[in-house]
Amino acid sequence: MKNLQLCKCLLLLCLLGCARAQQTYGQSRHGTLKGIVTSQTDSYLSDVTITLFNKSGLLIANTASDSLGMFEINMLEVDSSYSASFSRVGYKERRIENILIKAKGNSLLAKMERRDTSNLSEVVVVAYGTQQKKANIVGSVTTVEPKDLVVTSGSFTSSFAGKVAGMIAVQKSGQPGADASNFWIRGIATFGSNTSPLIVLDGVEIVPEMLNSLAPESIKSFSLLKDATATALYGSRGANGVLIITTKTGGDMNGKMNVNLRVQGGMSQPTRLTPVADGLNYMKNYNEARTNEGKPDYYSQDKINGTANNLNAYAFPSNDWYHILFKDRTFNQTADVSVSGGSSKVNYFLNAAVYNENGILKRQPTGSFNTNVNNKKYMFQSNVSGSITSTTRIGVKMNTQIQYTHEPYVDPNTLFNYAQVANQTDFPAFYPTSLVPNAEPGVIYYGNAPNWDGGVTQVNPLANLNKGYRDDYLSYLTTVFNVDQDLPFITKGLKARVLASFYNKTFSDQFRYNTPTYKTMNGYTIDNNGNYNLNLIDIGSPGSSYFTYGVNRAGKREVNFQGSLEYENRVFDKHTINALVLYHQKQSDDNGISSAETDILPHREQGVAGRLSYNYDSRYLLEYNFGYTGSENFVQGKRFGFFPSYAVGWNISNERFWSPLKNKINLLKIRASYGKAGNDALPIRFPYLTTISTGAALSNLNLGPNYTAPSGINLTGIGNEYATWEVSSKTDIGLELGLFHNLNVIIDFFQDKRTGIFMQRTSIPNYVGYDGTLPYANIGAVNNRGVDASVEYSRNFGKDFFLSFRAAFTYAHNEVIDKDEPPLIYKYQSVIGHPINTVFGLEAQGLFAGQDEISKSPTQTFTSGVKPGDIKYKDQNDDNNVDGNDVTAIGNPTIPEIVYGFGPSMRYKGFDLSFYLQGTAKVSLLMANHHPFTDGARTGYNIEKWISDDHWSTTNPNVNAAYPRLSTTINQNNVQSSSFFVYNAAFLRLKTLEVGYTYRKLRVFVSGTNLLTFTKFKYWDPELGGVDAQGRYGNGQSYPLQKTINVGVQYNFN
Amino acid sequence: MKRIYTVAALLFGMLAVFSCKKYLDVIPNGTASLDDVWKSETNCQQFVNTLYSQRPNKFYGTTFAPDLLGGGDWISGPKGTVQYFRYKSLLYGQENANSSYFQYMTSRSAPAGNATYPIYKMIRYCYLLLDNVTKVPNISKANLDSWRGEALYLIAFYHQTLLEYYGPVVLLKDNINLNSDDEMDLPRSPFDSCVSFIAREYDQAAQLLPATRPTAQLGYATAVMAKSYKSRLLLLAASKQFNGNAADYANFKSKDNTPLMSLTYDKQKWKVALDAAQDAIINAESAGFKLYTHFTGASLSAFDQGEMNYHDAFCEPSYNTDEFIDVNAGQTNVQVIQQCSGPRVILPYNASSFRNYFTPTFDAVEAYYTKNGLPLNVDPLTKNLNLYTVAPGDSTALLNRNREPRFYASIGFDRGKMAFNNDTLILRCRGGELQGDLGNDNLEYQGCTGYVMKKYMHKSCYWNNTTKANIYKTYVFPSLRLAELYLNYAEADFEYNGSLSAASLTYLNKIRARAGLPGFENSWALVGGIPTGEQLRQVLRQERTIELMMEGRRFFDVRRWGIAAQELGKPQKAWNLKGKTVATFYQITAMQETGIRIFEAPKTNWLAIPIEELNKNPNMVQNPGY
Repeated sequence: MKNLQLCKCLLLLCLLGCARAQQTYGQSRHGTLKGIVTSQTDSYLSDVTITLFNKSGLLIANTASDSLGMFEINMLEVDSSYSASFSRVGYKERRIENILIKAKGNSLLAKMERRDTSNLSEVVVVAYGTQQKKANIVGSVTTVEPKDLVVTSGSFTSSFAGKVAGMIAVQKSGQPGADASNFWIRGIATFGSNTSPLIVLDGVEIVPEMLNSLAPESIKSFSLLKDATATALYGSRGANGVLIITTKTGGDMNGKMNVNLRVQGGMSQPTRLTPVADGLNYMKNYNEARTNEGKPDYYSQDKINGTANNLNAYAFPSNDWYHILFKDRTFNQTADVSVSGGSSKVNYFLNAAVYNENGILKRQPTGSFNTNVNNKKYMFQSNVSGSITSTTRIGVKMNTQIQYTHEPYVDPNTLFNYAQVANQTDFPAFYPTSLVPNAEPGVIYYGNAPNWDGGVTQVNPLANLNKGYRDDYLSYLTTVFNVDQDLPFITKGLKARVLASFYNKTFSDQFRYNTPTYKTMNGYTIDNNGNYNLNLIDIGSPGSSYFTYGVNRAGKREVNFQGSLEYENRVFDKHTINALVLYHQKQSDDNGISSAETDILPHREQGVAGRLSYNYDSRYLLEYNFGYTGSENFVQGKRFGFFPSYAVGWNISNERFWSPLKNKINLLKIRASYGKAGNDALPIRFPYLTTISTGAALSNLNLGPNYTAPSGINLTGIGNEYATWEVSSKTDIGLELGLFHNLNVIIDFFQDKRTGIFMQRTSIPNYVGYDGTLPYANIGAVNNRGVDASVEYSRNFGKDFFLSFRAAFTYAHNEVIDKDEPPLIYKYQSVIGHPINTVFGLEAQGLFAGQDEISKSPTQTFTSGVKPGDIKYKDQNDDNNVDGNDVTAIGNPTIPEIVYGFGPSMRYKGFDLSFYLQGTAKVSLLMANHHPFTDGARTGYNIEKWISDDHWSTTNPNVNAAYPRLSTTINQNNVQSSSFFVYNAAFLRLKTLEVGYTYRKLRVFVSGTNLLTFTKFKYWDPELGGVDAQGRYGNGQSYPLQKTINVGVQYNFN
Repeated sequence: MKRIYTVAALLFGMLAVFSCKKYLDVIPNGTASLDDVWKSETNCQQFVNTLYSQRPNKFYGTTFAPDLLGGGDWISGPKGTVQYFRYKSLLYGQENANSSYFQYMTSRSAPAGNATYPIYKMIRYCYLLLDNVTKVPNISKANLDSWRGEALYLIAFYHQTLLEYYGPVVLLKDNINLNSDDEMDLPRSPFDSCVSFIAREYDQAAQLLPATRPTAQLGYATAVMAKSYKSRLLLLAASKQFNGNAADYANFKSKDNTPLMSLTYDKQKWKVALDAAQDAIINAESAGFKLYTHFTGASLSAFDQGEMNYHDAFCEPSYNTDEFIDVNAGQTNVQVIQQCSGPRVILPYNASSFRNYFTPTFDAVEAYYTKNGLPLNVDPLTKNLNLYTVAPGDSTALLNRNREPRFYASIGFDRGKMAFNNDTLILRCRGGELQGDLGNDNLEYQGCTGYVMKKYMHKSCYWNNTTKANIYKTYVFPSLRLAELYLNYAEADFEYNGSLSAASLTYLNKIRARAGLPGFENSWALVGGIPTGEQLRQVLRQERTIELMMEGRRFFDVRRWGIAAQELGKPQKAWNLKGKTVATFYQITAMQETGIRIFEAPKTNWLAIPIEELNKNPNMVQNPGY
């Protein structure tokens, strides 16, 4: 408390520590200004921009406060006075004058006052990079602090679930490099081919995979445009919402530099696995299934006893495939460094990140190469901008992502599936060469049982793992070049902007694999010493010792051009006007090696967009947007569509009459919008054409003595000249509420009506002759409604303790309004009135207790010969027949309707602790293909432990058993989609937990993800869900989700 | 000034882009559309080729159609799921409206492994051709006639295929306008209307088509094919199951109460069938078709010559143009059948070698005549013997002795001879032997009766153990051959006239003579002459079964005769495959099955109409029993 001059300021200043004056020989003496910035409630404020001016008003330095609110400016002239300005979003700007730098330097404490209207001066990035003041926004836009999206794995998108209001997100795989989440803005509103939002990075449209590998440190703002106000400008591409990401730029820091470093290492392991039965139980259950079919035992008592007594590991194998292939945990490393700085002319931001992630596969001693998954990612962001003249600024932003993936030739998901289903007792993983007569050196003799169907040998998971490997190279490159020209000489506030962007994706995949050599045991003898001599014979075709080589190539490039004129926030007395008109065009081309014309021809878009917004005194807000866009995919004359939107808002808390309440309810704003957007992504190109394919050899016609197969012509698509995009009509009503200056709530109610969803006709009978080429039409309609909300609270308790709390909630419920369906289906069969991804199936009523009950019940037509222990189904239409017409909606959608999350973050002195819980609700899971012993095509499969433990049998005639009667073949009655296999997949999990300690500029932390999961569904991680859209994986048989624990350090200096 | 230049440049740039009106004119000029088909004879010929492409493949080893292995005369071993061996769904009660492994009327992904043939789509293509073929510039009269004839022939053929599998079907008499709802609600036409529609199309086709084709065009439709399939169709229409079968079909009506099957027996249908058979035979014979014989110059007994004639008809010529009126010439099928059926010739077990897997059933084995040309239970030589025993000093069962040439040409048995690798192979089919049971049920490719199929195996087949390659013979399978027309005639003649005319006897004796058997009258003279009435009916059916054994005809014959449930639902016999000695092997046991035999009649006579089709069309009705 030394410097009295500073007491005049509105700020409290106090000395915090000692500063040294520095003297260098032959130069003027220099001093240092140190300080700390807090809020009125004494919590430290990070990210405060501190700008220092000298007496003549020249800008001297520019810096920002760190996470403990501290800043430091060096090289100041001793005995000079300076003035400093402090600014931060949500706070009133502070100026401190007359800061005298003594030889010992100076220290100050700056308290900043929150803005009355909460954080309304914050700017939000909306369509086409425009920044709008939050106070004046009438569209529905969610912005998320990038630091809240920092994750501990390389998967950026896995942080979305429960943290971003308006986002429905689920993660379906934990495999490094393939662990991106699927996400939808406000859920799914169409059963058309495209449900994904448009993702725009610095003005470039990017794919979700690229978003997934974005380094969180490089992100400045993350906005979710949800309603028509925000998306209409994107015209025929905005229907599914838009995600806008802007990367950081440097600031005017007077040539100084800010460096941020993060290094962390961690461990990951599966969240949950599905145990399989052990070898003995498997054999016992298999024999039981044979008995059910009136067949003799397959596994002899000798075999069972031999296995039980471990007589010989090769004659009586009992493999634990999972642990042969997989390890319990794996280790990963990440490092990120970013540098920013600049002067008044040029500024820059550079970020480099490297991720090294490993899979949980074991490196096999038997193989000659690494069999584990390894994913290395290098991400670079390089942003530079400079002022050419006082009104012209040019900038370049480049994002480069490079990924090297090494993985087994057989997809890890498949390997995981194999480990779950492979038979453990029919053969060992491999026979040591000592047991193989005339063994060739270097050859591994894998065990196998002779023949599944079709002459293919059984699956030996180890042989599949060791089969070969795959090296992928993936690179994404985006470059954005822009010129911003202020046009004050025409009129104040007018700006022109030209932006050109380039996107390139290169994917190259090369794989090498060989054919394993298999042996099978055809009996054994035991010699006098009790040694087993196995009679091993060849099966299948002989393996190869060499590797076969193959490659895949793919890629895409895009060029995008935008030119715009903006009339920016011009204030006339109490009227504020903002206008934008923008032209854009985009062309994307395939970089792959396909020579199909539809792959060669470019995809093009072209359009104009505009915005006009007006507010009166920040009280009454009006906005009009439009997009007029065209696509090359439609017939001439039907290419362009017009998408307008209208919005109004009222800042009630800015009204004079509100002032008495202002201290309690510091913000109250209501807004409403309505508008249209389109979705022009169709499952086919040029839908107006009736296309044919020529030249394909026909298999059913062979001519002449040489049986020549002539070529033929097929109709591949039936054209529809009226084809067009689907249209989304969006309505949004939002309420923003700020209480006591520390609690903010935003709630949006929305409705999205989709019409004209492009679909293949399904009501045309087969005899009309369009099988496989059913015409498409814009028929479907869906109504999607819901609410999303976010809550933020932060407060200091005393000087040392700071607490904040965040929550996000999204509920999106869609209903199909119209869809081409066969005219005669029963009402309960129709998807109309149900959400898009609703599980359909038969309604199970437990298991049949006895023959009596079967005779009295309606006939179940899936197989002739229903027996006790089979699943009993409800006859919905009372026709005394249970068949496909008794299928009805039997659950919630497989994509959650509710995703939510909440959690506190607190700090006490140097210690910080935060955790976040995330959950989903109103979601179902349909288990499929979890039938023991066979998948219909192959026999000899394993049995999962839960089925082995609790299934109907003559000794356990429990009609409520977890699984029906066992059979060695597919029992069509018991494998139907039914409520018997539908589970509630809701869960709540401890998504993140982080503990840290900060000492000056160094922070040390321990963090974890997915540490705890609470759910009713016990068989696997419910987030993986049931069968995926392709009918495979997911379903508990794909690469499991991971829980991770990381230790890291963060260092920030400037 | 500098600024103004900048601004000007920017605005000019934007304007320049705005003026790119053509930016969106991305026209797929290189994508062919339907109009291109009618632009040249070459293109049109390709389109005509396509019209043939959805004839269900009845000869592929694992069967796209159930005919070959699902008819009770030939069967694959007990391993192998329905997903791959689809015919089993019909034997084990798995066919239903919800899921059919034979999707000729709808296409969907379930059940996995189903065989999909969009037959109606091809019918639509046929009409597309008929409507547009005249647009082809400078089309020759020969092509115009042939292509129109082929389209008409295939319209008939495809409808007949559907009729055989589904019973009365919706007749697509012209292409349907997609914009009209009414036309899309077509009902199934009564069986007899279907038959007369198809027959009429065949007649029109026959007028336009050439009688035969030059060598390079073998495989395209001919007038003889049209006449012959018409004969097959009309025989089906006259048969007991479909002609006045009130017991099965009294309640089988369309939604407007039109009976879909005639409920009163109409004998006249046999006359129509008889005339059609006669017409087909005359057409075929005048086009040069005759029963295949193979004289090598060696002097052989009539018996041996008959065995050779019959056996070689199927696998000696690379294209049997003598006798085969319509064929399946896909060589993949030919190879798969040889690989799956051929005798195992290598141990240890090797799935890529001959598999011994498709084997004749006991029903087939027992159907063949004795060497005297009489049924086993009629011929005094065999009727009082226990044929399941082995004569003292003999190495094989009495059942395998004293049989007719076609038996030896078609069936391989334990200790019997088989020409293989240009040598004679003695088959050893007992437990643990080369062609016998391997003692390990896990090995898929093992037969289930103890017999080996010889009919389609050529003497040049062998397994090259060095290159691990199976060497096959290339040839074509008969889809319809002359002998069938002769048998059609005899059956229709008997059913219409109650006895066999001289013409019938002539035709039957042509078949018997070719196969080295005594004439029909001569054989029966041994036991007091040709039987009459029901007994003669059974004999004619046996005559037909034997001649067309393992050609996929029995599947339809047992259905139209109304004996499918009895023949396909009964327990099946096998030798005791695990038996290693004469005493233990030659015991009759139950044949090992994949599932539990359930054959519900009349239900399984036809396939189920898929539930989707019932739901799409208010006028569609399901087949009885489903």
